[in-house]
Amino acid sequence: MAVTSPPLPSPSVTTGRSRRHRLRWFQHSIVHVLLICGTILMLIPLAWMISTSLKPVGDVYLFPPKWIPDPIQFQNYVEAVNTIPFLRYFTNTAFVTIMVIVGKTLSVTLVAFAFARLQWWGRDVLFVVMLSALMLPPHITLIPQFVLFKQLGWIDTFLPLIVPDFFGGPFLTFLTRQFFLTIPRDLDDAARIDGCSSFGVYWRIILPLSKPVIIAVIILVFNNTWNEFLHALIYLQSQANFTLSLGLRMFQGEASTSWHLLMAASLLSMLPVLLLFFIAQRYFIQGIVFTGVKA
Amino acid sequence: MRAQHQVTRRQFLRAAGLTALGASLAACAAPPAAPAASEGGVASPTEAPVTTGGETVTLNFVCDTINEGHQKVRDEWAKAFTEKNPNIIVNHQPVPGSDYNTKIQTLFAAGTPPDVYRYLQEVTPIVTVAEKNLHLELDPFIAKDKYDTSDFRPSALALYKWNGKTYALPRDYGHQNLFLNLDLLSKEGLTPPTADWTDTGFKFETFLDLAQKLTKKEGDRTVQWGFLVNRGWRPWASWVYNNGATVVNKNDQGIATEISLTDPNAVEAMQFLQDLMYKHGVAPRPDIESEMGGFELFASGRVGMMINNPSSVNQYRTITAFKWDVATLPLGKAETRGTGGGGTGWASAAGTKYPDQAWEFLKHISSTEAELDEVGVGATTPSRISVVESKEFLDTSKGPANIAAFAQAQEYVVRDPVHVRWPEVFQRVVVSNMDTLWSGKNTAQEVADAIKAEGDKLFVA
Repeated sequence: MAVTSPPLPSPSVTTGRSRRHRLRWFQHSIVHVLLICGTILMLIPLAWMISTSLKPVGDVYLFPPKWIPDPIQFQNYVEAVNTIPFLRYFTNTAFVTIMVIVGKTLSVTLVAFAFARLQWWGRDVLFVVMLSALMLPPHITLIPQFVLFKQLGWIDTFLPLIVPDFFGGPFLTFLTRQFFLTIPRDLDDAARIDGCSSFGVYWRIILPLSKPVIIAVIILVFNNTWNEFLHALIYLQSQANFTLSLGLRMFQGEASTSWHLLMAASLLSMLPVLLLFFIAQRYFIQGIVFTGVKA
Repeated sequence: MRAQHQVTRRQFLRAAGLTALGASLAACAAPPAAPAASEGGVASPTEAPVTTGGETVTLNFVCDTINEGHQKVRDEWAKAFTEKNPNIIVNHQPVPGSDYNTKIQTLFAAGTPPDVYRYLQEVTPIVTVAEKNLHLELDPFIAKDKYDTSDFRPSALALYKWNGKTYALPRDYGHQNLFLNLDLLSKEGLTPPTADWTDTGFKFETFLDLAQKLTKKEGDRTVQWGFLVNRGWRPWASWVYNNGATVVNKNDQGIATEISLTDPNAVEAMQFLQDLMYKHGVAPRPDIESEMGGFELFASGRVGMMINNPSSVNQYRTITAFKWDVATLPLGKAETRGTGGGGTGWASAAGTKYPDQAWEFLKHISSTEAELDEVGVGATTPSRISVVESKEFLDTSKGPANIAAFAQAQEYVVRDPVHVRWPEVFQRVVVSNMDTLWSGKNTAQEVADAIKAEGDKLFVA
């Protein structure tokens, strides 16, 4: 019986494939090399921070700089958390941040829902007015707000740092509204036919479909609140109420800075931000690139 | 029969969530905290307890962070004062240094000024304090207690007096000095300049010669500079003073009337500074300095000399790679030296509800013991003569070896111009025009002419 062997690819096809394969490999290699270079470049400040945080005080200014500390001083971390009441400041910051995340996420999504999904008189005008609030520098309202909170007896409490965030914010409302606009309206109509109220549509339909933007809002709010300085500076007075951003500045003196301690404390304080970003980065990027949502 | 209203899991979670939210918001209103306790030496108050009529009084004591040691010292002052006066709680509020003015200005603008605070007369001129009635006038208290102010350096006390009234007690009295890298000088076989402020042998020319010998190049690239131009206001103004000129002319009352930088001696001093960077090449240009940092360049051993004030001495004490010391400023055409300086004071706001208690605390933190506490943690040039001449301040074990020069330099301090609009003149006119001197864009004459033309208008207005 004659055995028919599979037709062999012609030499010209083989050469074409392997050339394409090599070309693709070459392109990937270039992309990877560029990405690795970019990553190294972005990580240099972090590496410098880690290096400084482990140096003896006298080695901070050495030239040429020593990347690997000798001796490695883990003691700096102990000293940093003991120089300021680190745990107390950490707890205060975490409390304020969690409350702000809850308040802001609820208010922003609710307002964005009204702007994106409901028809009401003056909606578009009010949306422009809200956006124009973005142009208002926060320093303009600093003293009137301070006087207001003073009248309310809220100075040296966390309330001025938290309560305003229960009333939304223009940028995040805008971001969320844009995301909501991409969700098909048919879903609202179907829900309403089934007897859903406006709040029901928001709560049962829109929110469950908006995880990426909600996570993006949470990360942005977390990052801003964790690092917020100006309002904490103005409203908090007692040392026991300080947040981490205030506490870290305590290492920067009138004429000198304890860089080794500042870097150690800064690294510890940025850990939660890094952790949250690593866990939720997929959703975060989806939420920011709101035009490409999978609705 | 079973109840019809069964709570679903979702309803329960919703109710629990709302309750937790409410409880958390209620918890936000944290009670005022007691001052943080810490270890360390502290001034022992010798005053009798202050009576408050049984009422517990809280004094807000606001101060910028000088360094971690100073924060602990102030916590201890507050604690010790409360131990002595159980009805007075001192709420020490440290504020990050770079944002201190924002905080103080907000507190004053909102009508909630601090009971006691560190007053910076270069930010709010004393004449503004007097005219706007910002501070508690201390003379009635001084008279009542027969409080002895003779130990304060008279020129330091004068900073806080206007029209015969006292508005603060001096905390420190600083100035500018020349910091030297002794190892670089020794390597070139150079003798360090004098640290004796009465010695008039150290001139601009001697200084330039030193700077040139300390500058090293590799090809076109400078790898070591003889000097670092400190572009801060008081450091550059000191060159003007040492060349026999002033920044402003004053009337009999001491109020600035016009800019005097167009005086040929002032122009010459300013041009000398620009030439150090652009003509002689012995000092890094601002772009290099901004990139690497002023002190950082010195600390890395690549600069031979720089001007700084004694408050920064703690930073120099962290240098382990080379030996350093201090010296006087070089002298130009002036007969005696001048060093830009002043200091800060302890003041109480006029709006305090507790003037008697605030005065007692002011005395507590201005005492000899309190100044010695601050000497113990560095970064101060005491305002009390007995402290600046004490063995504790003059202790050379931590460096510099010529620390006595810090005490001596207090005799040569030239205070900042006094005028209600000086901070505005300085920010709007002086800083922006001096930037063109530092960048090499304009000559000293052009800069001086511009400052005079723009500044005088503001003084007159």
